Amino acid sequence: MTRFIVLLLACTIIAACTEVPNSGSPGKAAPAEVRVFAASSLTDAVNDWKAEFEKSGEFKVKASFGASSDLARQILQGAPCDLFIAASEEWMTKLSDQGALDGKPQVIARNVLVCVAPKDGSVVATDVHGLRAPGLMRLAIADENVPAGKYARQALKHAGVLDAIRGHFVGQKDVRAVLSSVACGECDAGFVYATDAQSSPDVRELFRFPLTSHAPIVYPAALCKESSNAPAARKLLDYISGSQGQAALKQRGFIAGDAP
Amino acid sequence: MLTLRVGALSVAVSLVPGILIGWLLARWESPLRALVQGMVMLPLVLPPVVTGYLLLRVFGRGGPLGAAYEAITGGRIAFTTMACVIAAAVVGFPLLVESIRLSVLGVDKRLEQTSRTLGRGRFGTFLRVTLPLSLPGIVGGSVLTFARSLGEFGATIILAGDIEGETRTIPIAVYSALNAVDGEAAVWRFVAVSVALSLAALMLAFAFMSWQRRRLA
Repeated sequence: MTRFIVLLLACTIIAACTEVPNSGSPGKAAPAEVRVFAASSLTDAVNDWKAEFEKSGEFKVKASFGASSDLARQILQGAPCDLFIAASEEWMTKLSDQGALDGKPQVIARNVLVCVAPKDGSVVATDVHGLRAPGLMRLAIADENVPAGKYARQALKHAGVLDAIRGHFVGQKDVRAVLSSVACGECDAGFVYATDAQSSPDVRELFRFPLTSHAPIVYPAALCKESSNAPAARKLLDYISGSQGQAALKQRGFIAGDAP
Repeated sequence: MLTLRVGALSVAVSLVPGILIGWLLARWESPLRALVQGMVMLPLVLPPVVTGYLLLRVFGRGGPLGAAYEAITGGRIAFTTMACVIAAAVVGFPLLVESIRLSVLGVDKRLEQTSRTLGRGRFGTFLRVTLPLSLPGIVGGSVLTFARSLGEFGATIILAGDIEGETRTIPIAVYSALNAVDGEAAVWRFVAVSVALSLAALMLAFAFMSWQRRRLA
């Protein structure tokens, strides 16, 4: 009796470990899977693309979101990824130097840096110099090594106010934490992307930073060398840089990327 | 350095409440005991980020304690070194209490009773008999709380933020360095410092315990 149970258990375990190939209607190929690693700030945009792209039934998109630094490190350590979209050029350059990319990266989107305040707050700064006003005690800003934090510091330095207001900085983990700390009223103002400001009803935009005051905020995308489905990934990248993909981006508040 | 100060302060701040509650959970006969124990253990089972948000709701500008503090002193609690200490203390509290509770349970009640029959009052017995005998648990729990604070990230970054010099503890500095393309070297340095601090705390605790044992022998 015991031997029979052991045998049954063994069969069950083996069966569970075996992958059953997708058995749809005979003659129809299984949807090709494209694995995308994308920076968190692209979450909504990627989900928009995924919904549209999967409509044909030919493809299935599996997306992972995170900080560009974490994702890049994972790819370097062999994580399965077909398409990588970063929030800054330096991590893409690092991957390229390490030979992890297939082809050259292309910029698929750009963004704008803005200053926001809580919706019901009393802050009235209309430009960057207004940030020196006495009532502004807490300025939320992303960590200095995170892209959003870098761009914000560059822009403030460019305007000549960085040293004056850095005593009021409240550093946050990433740009989304900056947004939520302003949205809940803990901070008087914060520096986020236009896309983040647009996504939250609890903040209002005070002003935008001129594009010349910081390094270009770009989102480069590239195919990974270790890809298991390069043709499908290529199709997705073409869709993203094509008119439909770019239109979806603009809806979310991004600026269009470079023409392919 | 900041991390060391935060760790030491978080232990210092938790000791008295920790000993009291640990003793209470060991000696108090009441059905409410399970409820108190559950509440004390909460930071252990909640994700640190959730603990951080709950603390921010209490100590933040819009929270009851934060607003009251701001009204009385004009200063703030959230996003200061004090916030780091609060986060580390709350997150390490279950470890301290559990360690003390087990230690107090191990103290022979007859020794306490003997002390009472010899004339010492309740508090005196607690101070001169129970406390010294449960010292291993108190010291062990303190080391655990200190070590936990060396790795505390989630709650700290939410309640205290990432402010250089004020709230950038080692775990937060590691996070920041990991975001830099060339940050690997800095990360390994921080790891080395953390390990060294933990080992130092452990060895100090060991030394203290063996000194205690020799004294009692």
